[in-house]
Amino acid sequence: MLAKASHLTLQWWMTLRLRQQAGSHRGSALTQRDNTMSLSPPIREEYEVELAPFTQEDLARETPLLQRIWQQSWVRKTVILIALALIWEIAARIQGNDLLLPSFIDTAKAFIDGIVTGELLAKVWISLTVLVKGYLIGIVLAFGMTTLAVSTQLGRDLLGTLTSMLNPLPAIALLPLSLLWFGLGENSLIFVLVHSVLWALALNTYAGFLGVSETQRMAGRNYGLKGIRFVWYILIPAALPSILAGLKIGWAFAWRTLIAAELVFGASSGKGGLGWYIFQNRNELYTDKVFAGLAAVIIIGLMVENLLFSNVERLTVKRWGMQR
Amino acid sequence: MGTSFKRPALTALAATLGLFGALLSSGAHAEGKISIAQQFGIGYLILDVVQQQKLIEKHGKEQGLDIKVDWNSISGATAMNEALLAGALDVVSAGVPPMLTIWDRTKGKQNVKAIASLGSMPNYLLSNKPDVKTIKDFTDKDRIAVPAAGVGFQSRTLQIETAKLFGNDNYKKFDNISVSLPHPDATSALIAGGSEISAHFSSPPFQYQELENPNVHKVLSSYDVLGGQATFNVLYTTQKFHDENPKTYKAFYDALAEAEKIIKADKNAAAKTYIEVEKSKLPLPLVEKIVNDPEIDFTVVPQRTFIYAEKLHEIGVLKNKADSWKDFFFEEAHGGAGS
Repeated sequence: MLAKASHLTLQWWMTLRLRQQAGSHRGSALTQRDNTMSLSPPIREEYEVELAPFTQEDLARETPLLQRIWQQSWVRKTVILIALALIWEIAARIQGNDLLLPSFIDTAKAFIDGIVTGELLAKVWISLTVLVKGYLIGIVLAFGMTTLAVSTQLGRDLLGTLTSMLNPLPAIALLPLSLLWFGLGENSLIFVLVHSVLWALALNTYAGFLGVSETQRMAGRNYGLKGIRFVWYILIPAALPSILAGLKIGWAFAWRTLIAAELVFGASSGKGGLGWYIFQNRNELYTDKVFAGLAAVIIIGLMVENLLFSNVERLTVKRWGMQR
Repeated sequence: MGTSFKRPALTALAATLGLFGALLSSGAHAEGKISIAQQFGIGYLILDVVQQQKLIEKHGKEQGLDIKVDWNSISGATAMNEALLAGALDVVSAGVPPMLTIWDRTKGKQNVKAIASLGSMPNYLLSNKPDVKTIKDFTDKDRIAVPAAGVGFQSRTLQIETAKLFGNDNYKKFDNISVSLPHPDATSALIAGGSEISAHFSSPPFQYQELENPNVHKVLSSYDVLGGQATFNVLYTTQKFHDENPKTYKAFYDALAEAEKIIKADKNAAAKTYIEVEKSKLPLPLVEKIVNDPEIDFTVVPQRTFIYAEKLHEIGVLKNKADSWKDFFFEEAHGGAGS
């Protein structure tokens, strides 16, 4: 009884104060602060809100089949390729001179013919074996040079100077020189390939090594890693995105250089690769076979990119979260 | 300033279409222009005489036509063929096999045919290895230098001889050891020795220079392969040029025939002409010796060109079969006792 009376008194007192306050609002703002400090906020009744019944049938909706097919990236890329093939076919028919521009169908026939007779595949194999040899030697040399650059001062200066001098030099310009030094055999091709791979890869690898975070380096030093082991266990995995970019660039340079060198170089020791196939068919005015050879170059480039490099990326840098 | 600037997209479209139309349409070719391409060498002496004495212009005036001649130099039969197909040149010159190749590929379409021969000359296969006496003595370690491995005059001649000795299926046997090198480089390599080049299928004047060296000897002559005097280089053009420019064509052919007479009348003067026009560094006595060589005949009448057509069709290089040499020469050349 007493509690209720005091509660009511308190409420009357608060209402009185509020009215007073409302009146004094027209006064200065500075006085407001002392007034609110002693009041508690207005209390309202609890209430429950009635929810409307849930009537939506499915949270997941089936998109139409066509849209689902279009979402596949390979479908869109194939459509682009088909559109390009159609434009090519129409342009060739308008031109009407199949020695200058063979149609897509003629090229496809020459390509399939080359595969069936095994001629194109044999030439591709010869080109690829030379390429792989040059590429691997280039990779080994690039890593050797970069390791030296990372560990010693002279190595760093050597790498910087050599790369800036020799990177802009096109490998084809070195071909006559390498023919003089290494003769007409495979070795001159490998020399030119190594040159085209080495500088781009060394540059990318070195930039990658420089970008490795201090934390990771200190962790490596913590384990007592030094020299080659430091490079192998810490630097290379940490710099892998840059290294992979360097490998892709090096591969593209090497492939281009090899085809161009074979065009210039002619048959070496009786066997020629894909570039020689293109060159000879151009000489014999089989332009559809020339285009088939070019198509083979493009297809191999696509295959290496999509089968080799993207899988390496998927298994390493993408899995480790280093690259999106 | 007007409505065109208010619709930039339409203007751009019209300009692009106009440009494409201009590029794709074939240029209208009035009579009185001819662009000729030749290569370097004594084999082109007839053209050098024509150029120096302005014979085309002279014969053009006889027909009442003012002909403007454009002389070009291109190296290699492949580049010649491509320039002809692209319409960049009217008349090109190369060996008989490249001419047959382009005749074969354009039969029924552009119909490229030969105009006239530029003379019959032997091409010698030379070697600096004493134990190579016939082509059967070549091994995998040897390298034969030719200007255009596999497709040029010299390679095709070698292929025909190889097919004769080893059978039609093995005609490419020596392509594996053939290397593409221009004549001057191959000449120095063969004379100097010490490189992988152990043989060179050479042409005049280089073969005469090489034979002056005691280390070099002759293995084969193209005349042996073909059975006698045979045409070395020919001039050829498209049917379109031949049909659309009858007067220019006739003037050109007459100029060639007159050049043949001029050379045969005074061979030493012709030798001087060669050195002047081609700015050659060869000594005059050597050039005179070559021009006076009885094996060489500067004639516009084709000799033994049909053997190439026949043999190359046999080994499968040419798809079309020619019935006679007249199939791949334009009518103006049919008069002489050609073959």
